[in-house]
Parts: sequence; C-alpha cells; structure tokens
Amino acid sequence: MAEKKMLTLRSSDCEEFEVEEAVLMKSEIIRFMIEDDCADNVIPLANVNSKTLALVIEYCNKHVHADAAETTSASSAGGGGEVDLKKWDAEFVKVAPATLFDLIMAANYLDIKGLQGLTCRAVVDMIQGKSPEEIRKTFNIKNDLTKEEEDAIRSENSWAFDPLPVRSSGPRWLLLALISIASLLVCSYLLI
Amino acid sequence: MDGLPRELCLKIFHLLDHQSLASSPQVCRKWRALTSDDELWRKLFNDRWGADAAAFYAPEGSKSWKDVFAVQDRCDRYGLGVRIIREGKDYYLIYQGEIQRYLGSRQDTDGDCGEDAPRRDAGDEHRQISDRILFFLGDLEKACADAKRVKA
Repeated sequence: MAEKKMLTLRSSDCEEFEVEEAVLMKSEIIRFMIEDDCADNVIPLANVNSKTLALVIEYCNKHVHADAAETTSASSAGGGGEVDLKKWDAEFVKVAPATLFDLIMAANYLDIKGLQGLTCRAVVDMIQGKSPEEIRKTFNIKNDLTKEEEDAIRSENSWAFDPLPVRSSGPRWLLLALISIASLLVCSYLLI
Repeated sequence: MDGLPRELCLKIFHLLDHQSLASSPQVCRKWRALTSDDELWRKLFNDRWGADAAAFYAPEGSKSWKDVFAVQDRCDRYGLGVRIIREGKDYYLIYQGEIQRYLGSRQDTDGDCGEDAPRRDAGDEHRQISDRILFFLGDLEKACADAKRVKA
C-alpha cells in the first residue's frame, strides 16, 4: 500500500500540524497550492490560531474519511453513514460563539465550503426565534441603542409580525360597510 | 460577532428568515446597519416570490427592497382589497399592500398614567379614525371620477 503523503501546517502561533495531503484537499486554497506545486513542506497560515486549526483539521479528517468509507460501502444499501456524519457535525458546532466565529473566519480564509456552510448555519440557529435581548446575551453584545431608537425600530419593523385582529368597540357593521363601499368603488373603476 | 468582517456577517444574515431579520436591528447599531442591506432583502424577496416577481416589483425612487418586501408580505396576508390593520398600537388603512392612511393609535390604558395625565376620550378617538377612513374613501371616489373623466 502506498505511503500517504503528508504536509505540515503552521498556525499563527507557530504550532505545527502534520496532516495527510488528501485531507487538506478539502481546502480549495491548499488544493490549488498542491496542484500548482506551490506547497512547500510547511504551509504557514497567518490568520488561523492553533486551537482553531486543530478543529479545522478534525473536521476535514472526519469528512474525508467519511467520504472514503461511503465510497467503499456504496454497494451496501442504506445511508447510515450520512446520518452519523450529520450527528457528528451537529456535535462539532456545539461550541462557544467565539470559537464558532473563529471557525467561520478560518473556513472562509481556507475556502472550505462545507465548514463555511455548517458554521454559518449554526450561528443562524443561535439567532432564529430569539428576542433581541436573548441574542445579546448569547453573543455578549452591548446594547448601544437608545430607548427611542429601539421603539422606532420596533414600529418600523412591526409589519413582519402577525398583527392582532382589529377589535372595534363601535358598531362593526359600519366598518364593514365602509370597506365594502371602498371595494365596490375600486371594482367599478376597474370594470369601466 | 464584532470580530467578523462585514461580508461574513452578511453571509450569516442571508440565511435568516424575514422575521428574524426584522427583529435583529434591535440588537445593536452594527446589526441595525447590517440588516438594512438592500441586497439582503432583494435575495429574500427573490427566494420567496421568485425572480420574475423581483424583476416586476423592483423598487423605484427612494424605495428599498425592504419596503417592497413589506408591501408584498402584507398583500399575501391581507389580500389586495381595502383593509384596516393594527401593527403594534397603530391602526392603518391599507390598499393593495400599501399603507394609505395612518388612522391613529390605541392609547395605553394600562400605562402608569398619573391622575392629572390628560386622557383622550375613546369616542373622540373612534371619531377621528372614522373621519380618516371617510376621507380616504372620498379620495378614492374622486380618483375614480377623475379617471372616468380622462377616459371620456
């Protein structure tokens, strides 16, 4: 069996990681470097620290080996491997928001599409369905808006939320009659 | 999220639904600026109503894609006819998704109003709202009459 070709990555804090070349092909940037024969023995990554780089390598490792396993067991029925990988991905992004943002930046810098999508989706899940106050707490954001600004924004964007039905204390038929008249006027204009 | 460059923040916001995008500006000033990005709302419009509708309803003048999205969203929810809706404490008269008239505001009766705080009479409020509706209907009638005259 042929020996696996290895490459060394150096993080911004000068820690070195020896990784299989096949694993690094997940990164478009590194893949181009390898294909154009520009990759030296050590590839310096000035924008990625060691903690983040270790996670990126872990992600690439898992996905490359999962892809390989899927290829070999393609003949056997069932997509069990895919389900396992989805579970693994879900666990992988259960990290602090700061770590998640570092991963997003690293995935963007190294151009790893799968990791970009996964990490961005994880942030979206942290935002979706939460109130502004909950979002601030999650991401440790300081509220720099005045009370007046908040009220203005709230009324500006109130269209997006289902309004309460109008309850008129006056006779409802009057309201309906007025709306009917308006509708008739519009219809008659359109028909003419 | 402060450390993320603008284009990466927008990449994340592109994945949000319109309700999350509409409440996000209340988080902080940076988020307010990011969520008012016109391209965000154009993409959201495109995803929901398709490229043909986006080409047809493209904003004109001072209107933004967010305005166009809001109008189309109202049309989906209320139809094209004349409707009176309440958004928050404010009443509006809408026609074809566009707000035609502001009809007034529901007063807070449960607020901490002092004894001497001037309280508006409920009857007065309803009268004002009715007047505004009638004015709008008058305008509609006049517009119809003018259109007939032009056609004739």
